[in-house]
Amino acid sequence: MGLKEFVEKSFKKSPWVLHYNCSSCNGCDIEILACMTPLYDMERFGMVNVGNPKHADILVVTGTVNHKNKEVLKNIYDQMPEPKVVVAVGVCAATGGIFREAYNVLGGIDKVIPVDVYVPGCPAKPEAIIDGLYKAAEILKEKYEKMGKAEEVLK
Amino acid sequence: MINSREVKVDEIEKEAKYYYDNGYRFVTETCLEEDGKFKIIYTFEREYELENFHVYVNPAEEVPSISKIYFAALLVENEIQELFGVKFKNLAIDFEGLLFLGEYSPISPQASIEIMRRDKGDKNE
Amino acid sequence: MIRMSDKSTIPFGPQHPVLPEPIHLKLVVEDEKVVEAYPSFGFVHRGLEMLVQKKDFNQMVYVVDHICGICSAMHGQAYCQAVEELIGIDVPERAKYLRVVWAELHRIHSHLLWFGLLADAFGFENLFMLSWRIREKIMDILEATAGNRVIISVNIVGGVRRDIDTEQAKWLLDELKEVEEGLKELEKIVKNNYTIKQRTVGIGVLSKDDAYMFGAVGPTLRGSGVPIDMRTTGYAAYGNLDFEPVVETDGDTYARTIVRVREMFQSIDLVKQAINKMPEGEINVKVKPNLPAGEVITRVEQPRGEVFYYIKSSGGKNLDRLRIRTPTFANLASLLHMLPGSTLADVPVLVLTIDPCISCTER
Ligand code: SF4
Repeated sequence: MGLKEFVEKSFKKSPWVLHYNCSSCNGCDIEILACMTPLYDMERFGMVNVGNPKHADILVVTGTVNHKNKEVLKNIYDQMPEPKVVVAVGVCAATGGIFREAYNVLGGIDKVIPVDVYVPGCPAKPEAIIDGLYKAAEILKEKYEKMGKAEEVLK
Repeated sequence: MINSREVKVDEIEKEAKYYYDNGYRFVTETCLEEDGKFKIIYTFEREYELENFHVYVNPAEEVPSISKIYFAALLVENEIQELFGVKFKNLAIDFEGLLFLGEYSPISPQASIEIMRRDKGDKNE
Repeated sequence: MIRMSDKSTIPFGPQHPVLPEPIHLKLVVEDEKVVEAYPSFGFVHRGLEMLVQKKDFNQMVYVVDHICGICSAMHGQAYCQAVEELIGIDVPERAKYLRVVWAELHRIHSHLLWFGLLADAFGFENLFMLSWRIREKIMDILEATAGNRVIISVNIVGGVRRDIDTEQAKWLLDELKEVEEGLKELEKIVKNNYTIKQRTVGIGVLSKDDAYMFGAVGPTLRGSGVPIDMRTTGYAAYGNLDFEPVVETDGDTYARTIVRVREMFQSIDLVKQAINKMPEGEINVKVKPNLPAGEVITRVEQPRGEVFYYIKSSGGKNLDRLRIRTPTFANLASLLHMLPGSTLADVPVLVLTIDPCISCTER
């Protein structure tokens, strides 16, 4: 296996995940953490939780966007290298959920950044989150392939 | 029902000092609106018993902070200043209205009486 | 040798690998020593207190349940107790015991969660996994008894929403036995492990007077030797149960860890007592749709300390004002006191030592 194939394969098979808590209630966050622990263990899909946006392929966001963290969220998203996939976990991240009417809440995170996968639930169950992440990994694969083609065309 | 005594705004520091000297623990301050005025309830505790006093504050009035006496009051006073727009003087650390809210958030969102404007240009229309 | 200007500012957060939640600290450091620390929050501020104007008092139960996913049952409990006191209704005895059961289960899972995060903060990943594995048992119990893993929303004004029948209670006690065994293993590690001691003993010392006067609550306060625990005031069914506040005297991070570990055993004991003493009967009573006028303060002991609820109503369906002073909000003053003078490497441990819950703090 040449280096290029190796990078390609590991990229598809082992996406790195960055988790950002917008203004969630913690419910979804602790479920995401639970996904990493022995019972659910998302590492068996090769997914590793990282803390640095520059290393990440998948951005997992919980909670709604408010006036203060929308810039932080945008910033993190912009720092991630292409291709990237965004997963919105919980109804808060999708629409604003129960906090929708509160004064400091803007709504779902798709008001700020594009979202690829929505995981419903309040809180989303670990099984659902893992399913969402798996879907995200597939979308990542597609995006990656498209990008490769674009490069070829440009050549 | 809660028992609470009314005191004047300029007696707040004296009262707080009294509680401090008598070994009371600071619990919290609660701000609410009553008839176009702000009411701030101060709560202290000793041996599971709560003691309250409250003040009525006119919108334009400045309230003396007790954060130099009870350091713990610092955060809650900043919170009230921010969410209601009541001005505190003599705060141990003044966050200047950016403790909870972002630059684009609504101003003093928990109060219907408007007394504060952010002086950072016209970011909020 | 040239001496560089010795002060620099380091931002900590808002997105930081140690913290599941966004908190921002501006740390002024001199070499490796922190000299000043300024917090900035607001990344989770939603403005839930103001939702009282839009939702009626029954719907508000679900909103306060979502203040924080970790101790949600206790937020609901505190709010319901406040409204019940305002209306002047008496909750059926069985409901009170059921509230204790769920509250104590939450305490165990919250402490285990915190313990895992602390271990993760000083790089003891194995222990993180271990404590979260034990925690999954509690989550199973919550799911089986209440229908959801995290936000269980069992409390309603007037009682609780679900019952635990005899068979389930028996199963629950069996599961708890396994949890207890796991905890014993954990306790052994905490008591003997070199790494844990190196990273926690003597770190973040809070003297008894300081803890009291900074208004600290919960394990932060009890770790410094002040025996204040709201459960001893006997709300819900705690008056009929047998327990003592857990107190340690050293006031450092290790003492607080021990307090939490001992509290988990205490909670298991309380669940057992509550299930054994639980009388038969109704689990909730009907409430009238309109509230009387008045104001009430209630306090409930959450895993992180006492929560303070103030409600005011002038009649009608909606409350006028709801104010929540959460335990982390009270503990932040102590944190700001502990940070200056520590080394930069200890900052994550210090932040975690008060068990911060930022969603609670900012509401
Ligand atoms: S979806 Fe529900 S559990 Fe998740 S962050 Fe929002 S309120 Fe909390």
